[in-house]
Amino acid sequence: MGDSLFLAWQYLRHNRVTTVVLVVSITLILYLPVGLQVIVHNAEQHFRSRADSTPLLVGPRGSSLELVLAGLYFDKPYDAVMSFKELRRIEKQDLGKVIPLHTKFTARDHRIVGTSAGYLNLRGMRLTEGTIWGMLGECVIGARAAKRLNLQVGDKIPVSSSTAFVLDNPPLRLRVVGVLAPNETPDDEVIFVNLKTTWIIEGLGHGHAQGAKHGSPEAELYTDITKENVSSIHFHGSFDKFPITAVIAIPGSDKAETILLGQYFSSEETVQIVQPSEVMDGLLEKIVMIRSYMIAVIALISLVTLLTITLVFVLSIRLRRAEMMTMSKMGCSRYKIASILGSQITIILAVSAIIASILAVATNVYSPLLVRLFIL
Amino acid sequence: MIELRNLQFAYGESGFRLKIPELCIPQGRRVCWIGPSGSGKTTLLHLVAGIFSPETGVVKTCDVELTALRDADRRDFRIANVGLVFQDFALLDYLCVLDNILLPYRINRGLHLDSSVRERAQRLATEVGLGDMLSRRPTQLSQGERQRVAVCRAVITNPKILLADEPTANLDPGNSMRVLDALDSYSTHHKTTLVVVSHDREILTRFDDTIDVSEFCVKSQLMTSGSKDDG
Repeated sequence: MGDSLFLAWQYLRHNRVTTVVLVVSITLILYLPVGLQVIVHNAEQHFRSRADSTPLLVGPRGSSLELVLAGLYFDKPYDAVMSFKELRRIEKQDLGKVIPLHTKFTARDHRIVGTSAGYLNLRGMRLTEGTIWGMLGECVIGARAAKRLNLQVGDKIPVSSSTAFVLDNPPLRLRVVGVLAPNETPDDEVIFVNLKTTWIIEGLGHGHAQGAKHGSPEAELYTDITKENVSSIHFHGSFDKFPITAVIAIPGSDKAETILLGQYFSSEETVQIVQPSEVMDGLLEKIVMIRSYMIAVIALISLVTLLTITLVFVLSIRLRRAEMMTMSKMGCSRYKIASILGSQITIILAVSAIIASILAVATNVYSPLLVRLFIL
Repeated sequence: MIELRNLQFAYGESGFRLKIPELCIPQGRRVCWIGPSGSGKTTLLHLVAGIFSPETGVVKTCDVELTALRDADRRDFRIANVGLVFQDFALLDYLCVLDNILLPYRINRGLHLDSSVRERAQRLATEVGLGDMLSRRPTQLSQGERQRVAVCRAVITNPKILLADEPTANLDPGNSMRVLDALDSYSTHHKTTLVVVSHDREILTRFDDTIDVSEFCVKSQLMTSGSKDDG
């Protein structure tokens, strides 16, 4: 067997291009279905775990999936809003905890999420540096956002003016007071602020020199909220009418959950309540279906590739007929010739299988990153 | 010793037929088989090596009756007793010179490749002027060098019979002489029976005997020159 392997290896080494093409083809045939399975499985887990840890989500009527994506993943702009009184409505009934979310604004391409400290507790997030916001205008930044924007505690980040309602004034600058530990979720990309800070960004609240009248030159709006001027911050209008994107509701009991779910059936309701896990189940069913289609397509392509590879092997054997004849004349048995050819196939399959396995393991290890890069 | 009696061989319906009432080549003799293309020189060589089996008759090589042996046994016999040199060298492009010479040891389980064999291969290569080319591939050698590698490969197993099929057909006169010298030298030193197939009459003086194979060849009217067998 050693001699057969030696001769097979020498042949494969000599015909490097053919060997590499064969190895790459077979590696892909072996890896693609497994790699796809691993990535989809991890994506499923990722989606499901976040949805499962968010009991109920209340938001404006419309697509429940878009609401869940906006409320859980902050992945794209979501302009639909509801009034803050919807949060109060749940709060008054004392059916559980409520966490507001306002996700309309961005700062240097990172979403600003206006919320309460309860959100950080819900997601089990901890700070690696600094503290949580204690004052308006302060923010706590996700790990990857901090890294990408090169921000530390004490740094300032201006709110993107394209999303903020600030007339004739430079946009508000948020002061970083804490950096969160990475948790491999969309929270890593987010800038968290107090809900009221997002209302200030929206122009519903502001601060200016004491006694100055609105519109007067003395009433220049502050771009930095400091200990000195925070007391001048005031809001115009009733909080109940102020906008929020969604409310995470954490019912205190099954009964409370049932009561909450039953409250939003009326066609006159302008808000909806969804169970993110159910919405994600619907999405994942589609993903599973797409995965099945993809695996079917990959299987078909693999079959064609496999047939082509078989053809390549057969043609290669035909081309080497003279060589086989010479060996036979020299006393080489048919078994030995088969062993040499078999060794060639074995080496190619073994190398392909090893590479495919390494790729599969790497995919599994790096799937959170891949899911984040390609799916989220 | 090679002995053939009442031998008949044909290629299917082609009409080509060899008929040899009796042919005997004593051990250690150097013989040249001549004849025009299609006269059956290579076929006869294959019969003596046990690659082909005759329809009737007896082929005895090295006192072994090949016609009584099974295919596998004839192969084992060939490994142990016969060295073959081919017209087209039949070297493997993907092996270096040294590994080409050692090929019989790599493809036959009955032969054991050890350091002494490697040393012998290097010595043989040096003797034919290839000592510094052991790591080269056949494609990096001249025609004459390739045939010398083929000769080394044929003799590495210390065969009792050396069969060379038109070994100089693709070589210039200078290289032809070097290859024949190498075969001669090995045959003389090891008392090996040497059979060289050729249609080059200028080399006949180097041999003890010359046999015109065309005398044994019976052809039908359908037979065309060069069909089935080049030899």
